[in-house]
Amino acid sequence: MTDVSEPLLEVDDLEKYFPVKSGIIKRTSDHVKAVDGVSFDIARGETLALIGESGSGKSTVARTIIGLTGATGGTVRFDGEDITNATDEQLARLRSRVQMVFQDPTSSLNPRRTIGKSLAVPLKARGVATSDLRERVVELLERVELNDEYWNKYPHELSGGQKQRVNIARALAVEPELLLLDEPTSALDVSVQAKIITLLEELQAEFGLTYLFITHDLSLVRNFADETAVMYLGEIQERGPTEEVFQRPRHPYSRALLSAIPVTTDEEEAYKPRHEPLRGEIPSPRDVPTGCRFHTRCPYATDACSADEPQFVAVDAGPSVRCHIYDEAYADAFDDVPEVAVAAVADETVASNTNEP
Amino acid sequence: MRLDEPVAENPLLTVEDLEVGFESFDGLAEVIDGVNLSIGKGEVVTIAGETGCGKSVTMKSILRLLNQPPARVSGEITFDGTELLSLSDREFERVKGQRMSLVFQDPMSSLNPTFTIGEQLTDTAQFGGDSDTGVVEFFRRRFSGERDEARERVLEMLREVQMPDPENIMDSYPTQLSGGMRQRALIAQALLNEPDLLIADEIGTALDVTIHDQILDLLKDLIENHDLSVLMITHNLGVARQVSDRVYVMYGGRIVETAPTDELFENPKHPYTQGLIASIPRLTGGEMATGIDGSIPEYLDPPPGCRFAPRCPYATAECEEARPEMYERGPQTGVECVLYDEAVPASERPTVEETRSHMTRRPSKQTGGD
Repeated sequence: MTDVSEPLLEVDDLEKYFPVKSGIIKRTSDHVKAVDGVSFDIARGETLALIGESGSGKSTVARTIIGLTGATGGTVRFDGEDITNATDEQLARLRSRVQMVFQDPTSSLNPRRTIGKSLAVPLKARGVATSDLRERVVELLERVELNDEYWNKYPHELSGGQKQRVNIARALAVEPELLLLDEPTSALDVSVQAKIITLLEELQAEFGLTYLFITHDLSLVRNFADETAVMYLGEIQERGPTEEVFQRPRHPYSRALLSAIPVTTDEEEAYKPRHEPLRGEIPSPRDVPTGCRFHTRCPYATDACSADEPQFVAVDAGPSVRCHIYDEAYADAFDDVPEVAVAAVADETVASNTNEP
Repeated sequence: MRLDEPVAENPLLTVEDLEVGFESFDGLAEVIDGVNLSIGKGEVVTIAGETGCGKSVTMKSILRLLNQPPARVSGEITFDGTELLSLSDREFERVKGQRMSLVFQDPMSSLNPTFTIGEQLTDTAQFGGDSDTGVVEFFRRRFSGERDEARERVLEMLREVQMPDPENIMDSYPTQLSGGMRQRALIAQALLNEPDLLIADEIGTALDVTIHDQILDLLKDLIENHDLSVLMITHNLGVARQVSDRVYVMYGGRIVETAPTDELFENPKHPYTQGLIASIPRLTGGEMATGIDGSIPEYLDPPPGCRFAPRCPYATAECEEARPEMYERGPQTGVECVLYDEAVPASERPTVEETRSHMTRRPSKQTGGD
């Protein structure tokens, strides 16, 4: 928790609409609202987890921040500098401070380059002398716990976990301050996933890195992130300190996500909110439901939910939630679902868990 | 001598001493090495393990989906009293088509994109297990009232798997459906001919958590209503816990531990199972193990003894020499680990917590194996 006053990354009301073209002259007839008014900031050295299902727009947020796609609205500020739709010259500077690790470790490495060559590219771009390249690459490999034998190997000779280590090493080559991690472990087995997460934690401690960690796996986030934001259909539905979001998930969607995870111990089973399978599937971002975007699947939805769009408000000075249940003005509408307003988790469970080391 | 695998009462399917090797230019890869398993009638059994442990190969050899050569399959697979490996292709086809069903992992690639859901499912309903119908018989069934009856049955089944708007779905192509709907269509297809055994390979893993959850709930209901025996294959231990009665944990082409689900999760015995459980991030927080060092064995040249020995924190010289026995430890519970020999005092057997602490600090850097 260093210097909270000046966040490293500030995203304000970010919008990314993809045009849908139709007809012979390819007129823009519609928009896919992939990201629709997303705001958050990350303090230096902290980790924000962005959680959501496929199609929720979480990856688009990361791609827009790093400039792979342009934003259609809102601002992104990195270290005080406005980098929304950055110019090439800005991007060139930015790339040495912001890096991204992608989900699929295989397709993000060039199959025809050796690991050494792949890792040398960002170093050359930074102006490292050719004579020092090999030494620097080996240093990088060692930092991600691979030995120098890997210099001459091709990606197909490596396992998924090893490839992901190489990807992390490549991102670290330019000594960035912010790493955007787009589902870095979802293609890996659990025992390997645990190793990659540990590595990321160590690197964060060592280099004071700031992470934006994108995932669909809630249980990963618990130990790893300082703050958690839950996305659904291009909007953040709930955002707050990770502990708070896990102990008292307020938004019905956060609760549904938590309850849907298959767990391995009774302790966790008791910890999960009451099991409420969601109806239906995530609607198309091309045809976003009116009012609250979640109302088509929400077990507590009322008429008000389909009519008025809920505001993103802070609840009890804790996390912010986008849900009418927490809005005084709609208090009457939810009288018949009293258990919604209180945390679904029994207080004892919360207490016993906070006492744990 | 090895003890027998703890066998389910009244088994529907038993696999004994299954060995599968693959011929390659570098020699024979001994992928499955002496697998014994059984599924009782009405039982839901899971094979759990990580990528490359041989789960899918086991399933494929049961269903004869492996090409021989390059595969070499030996052992005994008995389905309801019939030895499957000695059947001719045509006889096997009949047993498979009428009494077994398989739901594949990937709902995208398991449906034919050029036919509507209705056509594909109605064909299954009419011709499942009957690939050798003559031309005359084919046309008779295809263009008679039987077709309409079969269509009705498909519609009924689609309703049962809670497919939204089934009438319209019948006339839709797979690409027009979402992943969850495709998965439901596949489940409906698998259940059309009232199979006795359902084999589910990583069902729903390609889907989002909330949809995956819906599919698992549906599967649980269907298993109950249709009195199915199920062989589930999954890499997700949480799924195994949620759905199954009994779990087999596979590692390196062998079953290393088997136990009823509750017993396995409350009291995991094999160091591999313990390491796996310790590596799963927990919803309740708490320290997570840093994963199991090393990587799965090279099948061309597997370790001579216990295949987990090179990665096991408790391995001794004995482990590296000979394959451990499957020690029976209670009803339907077995562990293939020398630590569970009668001679070893119970105090020397590791607990999950010990394994967790062993795996939480990495002994040396530059291991390089994942």
